[in-house]
Amino acid sequence: MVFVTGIGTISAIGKNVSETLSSLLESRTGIGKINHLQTIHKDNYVAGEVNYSLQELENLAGLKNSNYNRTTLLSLLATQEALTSAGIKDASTYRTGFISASSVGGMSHSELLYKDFLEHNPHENFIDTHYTGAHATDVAKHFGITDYVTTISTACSSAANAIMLGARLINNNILDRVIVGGADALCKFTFNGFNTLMILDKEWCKPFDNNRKGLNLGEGAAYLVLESERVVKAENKKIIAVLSGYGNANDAFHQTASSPDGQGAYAAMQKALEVANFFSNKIDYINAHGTGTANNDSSEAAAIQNIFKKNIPPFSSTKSFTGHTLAAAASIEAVISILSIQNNTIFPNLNCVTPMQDTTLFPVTSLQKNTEINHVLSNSFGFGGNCSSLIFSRN
Amino acid sequence: MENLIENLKKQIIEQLNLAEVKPDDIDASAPLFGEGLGLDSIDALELIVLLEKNYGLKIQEPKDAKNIFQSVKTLAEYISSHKK
Amino acid sequence: MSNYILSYTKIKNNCLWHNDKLVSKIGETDNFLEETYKSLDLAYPKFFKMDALSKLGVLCAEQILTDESIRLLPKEKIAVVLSNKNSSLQTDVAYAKTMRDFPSPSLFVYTLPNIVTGEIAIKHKITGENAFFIEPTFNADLLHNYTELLLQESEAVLCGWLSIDEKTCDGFLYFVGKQTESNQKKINFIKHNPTNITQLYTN
Repeated sequence: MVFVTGIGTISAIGKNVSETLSSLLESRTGIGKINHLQTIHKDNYVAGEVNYSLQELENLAGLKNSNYNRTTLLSLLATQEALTSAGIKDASTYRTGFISASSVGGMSHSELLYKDFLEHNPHENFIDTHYTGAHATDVAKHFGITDYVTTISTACSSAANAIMLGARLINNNILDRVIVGGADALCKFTFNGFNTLMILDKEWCKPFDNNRKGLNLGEGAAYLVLESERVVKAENKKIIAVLSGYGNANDAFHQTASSPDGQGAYAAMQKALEVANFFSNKIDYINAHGTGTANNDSSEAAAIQNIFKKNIPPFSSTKSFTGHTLAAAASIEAVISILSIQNNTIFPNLNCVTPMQDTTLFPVTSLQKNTEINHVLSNSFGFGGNCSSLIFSRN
Repeated sequence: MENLIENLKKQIIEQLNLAEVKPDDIDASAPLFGEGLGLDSIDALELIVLLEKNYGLKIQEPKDAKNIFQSVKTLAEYISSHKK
Repeated sequence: MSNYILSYTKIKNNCLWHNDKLVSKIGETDNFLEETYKSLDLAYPKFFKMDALSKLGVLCAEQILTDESIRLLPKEKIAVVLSNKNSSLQTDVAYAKTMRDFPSPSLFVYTLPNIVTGEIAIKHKITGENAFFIEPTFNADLLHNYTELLLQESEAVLCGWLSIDEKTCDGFLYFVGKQTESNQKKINFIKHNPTNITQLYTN
């Protein structure tokens, strides 16, 4: 059994778990005007930007002249909150690991500084932080985590895969506890690229709506502290949630598009249910991947239909709050799934009005409180056909 | 029109990295997507780039592209009728 | 029950090796990957649309996944675990250059390191688990460790390291599974442990 004993998050809807919950309960989206990223698309697109400049993030972390890039600072802040919430002051007391996911790495820094670097003014420190693994190494070092540190990079399912690996390491008694999740900052490279694929919506995204036009990009970080039963008992830890199930599969269809009937998604959800040893009717709520693209939402709906058949649980995409936070998405949404359990509340799929024509499925579109939520399925499907699903349960 | 079609065939081969295809292999009236050359959604995006790069024509909505990119012939007709 | 390295390939110094046998030797050329593809007679036109990292991965995976006894394993039970240091850096640079005037969607698609696992999965219809790790150097311990965990549920794992930059291709893939009746007489069996993995990589 793997227990969640700490959570931490930062995104467009809050700099910590408490602010995040407030935004969710008030149905207040974090998607809006781009203030900090200096991109040519600034005035034409909306995004889920963390509303702090690089300097402000450093201040929040209590650092000065750290040379940490935006991804690293987001990672550090969320890790700090997770460790505090788990009551961990000294990582060395148990075999502790740090598994983090990122797709952007130090790109947000590099793209600003490399021209200058080529011409006359080397900012040498930033070169070392470009590499995707740098953020994990820096953050692990900052918190004194040394037993196991690695970086996963599998696009939008990355953080779910980090969580899965962490769970396996605990279940196999390789680690006693592990901090798992992901971080990605907005950057011009990503904006430009998604624009080229023509899957960005210039306005607020509409996941699962028939007239959806695409996704909104977001940024952020989130981490869970997973601990073994032994540590929880020895330290008398408060259990926030249980990671009951997990599954990963490859869609084997296309580099970026999902198969029309969502085979990879189906396989991932199926595996997660098998690991949890549940029938599908135990799931009280699905936090969907729901990016708002024509392709994903149809494909995911088809997969959900095939798994759950006549008993479709309520579902929503909270990317209408945070935007698509790429490699951090699965961990931010894991925290949101856990908040759903803690508060017996289903957070709405904002901005969805018209049901999709190719399915009878329709998400929850307004806040639903006082709803018993014991088990949540959280989906994250990445480019490269990498599909992951996690199941969180009340203790 | 013949010239444009021949040029388009070469440009498509280059833009889409169709390394093993020769211009003569492409039937101007055959469907580009599905059967025929079996192009996919990313190829469609590259054709949108080709139109802008080589002919200065911009397609704003990917769904408008479906009819334009039916075949090399329909693509050539679109360029002929819209070129500045 | 022990797990074994059942098959392995290497691309290094413009040569492709399978189980230590030289399969293809291409001289100094800018088109090494394309020339290797031709020498293998792969008949897979999608190859030319891929970026260099995916081409490297697909070439390394070919000899392994078309091997008689490996080909018949259930595809949903084969996992793929790859790694490198530079992620998709070479393609990132190529895409960044196109950002100046006409950004290329087909290049952007490859600006993630795990697209190569996707390409291998698409070509061989492998639908099992898949992961991509970013590590500062080839890490046999990490790969060994993770593969052993996966083999609790998967039947076999394709693992390795795929690294590419302007000057060199460094590809090393190996297939880990169990000794069974059907593969017993056909394949060399090398015990799956970090020492053997490292030795195969550095040879």
